[in-house]
Amino acid sequence: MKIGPALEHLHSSQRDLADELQALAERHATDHDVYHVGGMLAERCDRLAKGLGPFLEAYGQDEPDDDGSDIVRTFAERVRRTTAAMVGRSDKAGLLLLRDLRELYVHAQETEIDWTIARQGALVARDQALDITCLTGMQETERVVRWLKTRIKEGAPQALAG
Amino acid sequence: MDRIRDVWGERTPFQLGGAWPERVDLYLADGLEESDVDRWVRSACVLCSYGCGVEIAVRDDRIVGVRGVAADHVNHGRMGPKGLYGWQANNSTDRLTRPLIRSEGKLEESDWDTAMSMIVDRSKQLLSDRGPSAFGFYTSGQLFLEEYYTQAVVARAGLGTAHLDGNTRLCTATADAALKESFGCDGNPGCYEDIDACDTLFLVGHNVAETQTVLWARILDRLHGPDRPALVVVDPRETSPAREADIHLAIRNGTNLPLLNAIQHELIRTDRIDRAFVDDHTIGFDEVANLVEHYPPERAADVCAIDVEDIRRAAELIGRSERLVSTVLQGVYQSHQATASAVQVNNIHLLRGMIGRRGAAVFQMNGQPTAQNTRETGANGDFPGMRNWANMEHVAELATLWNVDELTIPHWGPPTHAMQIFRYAEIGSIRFLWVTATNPAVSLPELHRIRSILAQERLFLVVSDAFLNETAEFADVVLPAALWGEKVGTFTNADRTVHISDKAVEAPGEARSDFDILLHYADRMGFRDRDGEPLVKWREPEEALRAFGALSKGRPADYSGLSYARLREGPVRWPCDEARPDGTPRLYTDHVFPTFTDYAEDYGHDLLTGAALEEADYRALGVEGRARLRAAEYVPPREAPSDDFPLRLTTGRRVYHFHTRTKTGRAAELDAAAPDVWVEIEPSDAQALGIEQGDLCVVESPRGRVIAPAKLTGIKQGVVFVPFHYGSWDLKGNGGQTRAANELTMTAWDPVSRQPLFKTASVRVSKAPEVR
Repeated sequence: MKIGPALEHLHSSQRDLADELQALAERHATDHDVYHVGGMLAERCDRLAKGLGPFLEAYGQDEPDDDGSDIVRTFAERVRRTTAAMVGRSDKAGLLLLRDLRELYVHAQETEIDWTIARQGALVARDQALDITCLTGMQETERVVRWLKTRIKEGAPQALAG
Repeated sequence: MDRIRDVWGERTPFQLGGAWPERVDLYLADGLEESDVDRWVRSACVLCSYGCGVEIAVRDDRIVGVRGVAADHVNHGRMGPKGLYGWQANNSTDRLTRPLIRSEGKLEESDWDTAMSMIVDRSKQLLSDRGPSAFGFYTSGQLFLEEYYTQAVVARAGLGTAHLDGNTRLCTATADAALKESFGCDGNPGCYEDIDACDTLFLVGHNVAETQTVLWARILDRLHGPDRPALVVVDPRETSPAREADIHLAIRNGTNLPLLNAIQHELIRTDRIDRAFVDDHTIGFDEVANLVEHYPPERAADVCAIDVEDIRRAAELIGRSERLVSTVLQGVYQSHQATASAVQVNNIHLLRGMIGRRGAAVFQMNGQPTAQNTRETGANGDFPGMRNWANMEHVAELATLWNVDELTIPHWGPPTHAMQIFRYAEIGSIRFLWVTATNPAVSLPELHRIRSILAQERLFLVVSDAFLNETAEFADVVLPAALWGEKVGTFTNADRTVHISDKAVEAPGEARSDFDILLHYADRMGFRDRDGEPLVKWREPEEALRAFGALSKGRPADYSGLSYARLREGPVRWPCDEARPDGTPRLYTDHVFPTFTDYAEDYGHDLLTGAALEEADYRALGVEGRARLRAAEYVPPREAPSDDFPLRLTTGRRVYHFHTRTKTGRAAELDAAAPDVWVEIEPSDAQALGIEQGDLCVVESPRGRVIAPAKLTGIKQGVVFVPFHYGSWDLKGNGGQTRAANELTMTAWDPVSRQPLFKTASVRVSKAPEVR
């Protein structure tokens, strides 16, 4: 079975998505909708990534790496918040946000299809628990994709017209 | 009569299905008698969304008082304290009577031609430099339908900007969103007579005794009548309705959703649902049932910090009712997960088949008297005539009716919401902001931020108001506006009742109605339709209503059968057309809902994130005439109490005041009844902080602070309350930035309705240091 490597790939994609959502929320902390909803989605994505831990082990992969030290994360967060405060009043803020949302949209779609692939694996392996986990993952990443698309459609006209 | 001490007046109890007895409330100034009055002018009250029919007393061409209209189906003659005394603001000596323009940093008196020239010159310059997207309009819940509709045409087709919203975003956006998410279109299904016929009342986050005093008088008369309805109240504060309730669910603010999920859990578990109704007239039952399965009362009791038995008893009362009326207001709308929670109350009515018949209704209430009209005309986040911006057919209809190119009308996204308009102003992408009849410098959250946005040099700010309010202090041009009683127009309350308000007196000095101001602007800007004719095709308010009748024909809020002549005979509930000349008391009596893909006002959203459904997604749901049961999981507020800020803040209004007291603060009786800010604290919380009744306290959040005396009350432990009315206009420059509740609140909003959160933030409270 080659499900293990697929799950490992999914896990890393999902974890990166969580990190990037968090980074987006912090970088655009002065855009309050992105800050609050992005932060909430980051937490949910992180929980989904963690939920894959037992399956990784079951399919013969190593335990996932630690997320990095708290000191590094806190420092990175502070840098991003300062950046947010600096660009918060700039008329470039709209375009910067659009660029970041676009990048994340592409990533979220990749993660969504990774869940779909993993779910097909779960079906062929007759693994019901993994199947349920993957279905939740598909729904949640679809939600992220839809939110990003809504945000992009709403923000793009003003960013491009200005 | 003293409506300050006796807010709701004497009881006139009546029984189920009986007529609410008449009681005419009257107030005349200066000891005048009714016989001293020269004439009575037909109107309705503009100081809450209940919408009492009133008459304005005029003597020597001055307003001298008001009285309720006995024959009006809304109030049967009654009036509340704000309505009885608030009109005195019209006669206030500090009315704006001439336009003001900023010159060398200071506002100076000017004339209309100069002031309007400044606005038009800047508009034309910006239009050519940066295009329509540089324009924003922030309007009110106080203007008339004719004014909002004119504003919508000027902004959306004249300039072509998507950035027009009302302060109704702060009070009513979730009502609008919740109705659309469940029923496909805006519009409350029931009418106030359903109160007279119900057997159970469920008030969710709705302190009706203070927000809509005459509605509470009506409810009290049922509660004190021979067949009292059961009353269930959800509120963290010990309000008058809470004291009258059979069950008071004193939840932590911001935990409506787990409670409402638990009630549905119990309704389904005990099989107190109308299966046939659910099967025939709704979709989404399985999703809701699967979700609320995870919300047993024990879980809600834990999150909400209430007794589990109270939840079970509440669910039983609601489950056993045969005619249920529920009302929802700011306790839900201004908390996080606002729309997700509000639609759960719709769910309860759908699960029990309690809609579209006498005594069975859900009211997603409005805050302001004319809020409903911003939603109908497209002066807020909706498309004119309750159309769907994402439906190309609807956009085309609008273009035809206005005789403009479809491409002129912004339809690339939902009309921009107020908080986003201010965000665009913050980043300099909006450079022209016109504020009409509202006061964002006191009423929006996180005031230090709002002030810094308004103070920007690059932002051209126009303020149209009757008074020099806190926002006007930042303006480049201030236009003196006529008030209610000084102009004619129509407006609509929360049960779809349309009233006419006739002109009683002339506006003072050079003040003009916003209707005339907008026409003046449209003329000077030279807005044209596709044939080169003037875009705005009316000169008089009555013509504007007729035009709106044509625009709304066939849509849910159909005004095509309404005229000033008809409204002068008495109020009418929309829809009103040729077939229904006397209006429509109840919607959905056939249990067919306006959710058809080609008709619906909205395709709906993900309740957690606000992600929009597109036409294909919506069509695939196959709703088509059925209502939508909506499932939503609870997520904790983004700003939870912490070690630094351990208390939960909620803000709200007091019975004697409206909005930022622009009018009520200028009526002597109302001002004296509640002259200054205070903070409500639960006694054991106060004791732990060493605070006693009346001690001056400092309330701090990560964003600002308020200094106010403590009032120890029966509020929920761990929660503090600060009323939001108090700004700085009456302080004469002293202590201006420690008085408004919005110094404390956070910049955040519900992702679906985009209503800001005024009821979930964290604060700490301490005793203020003694001043020597």
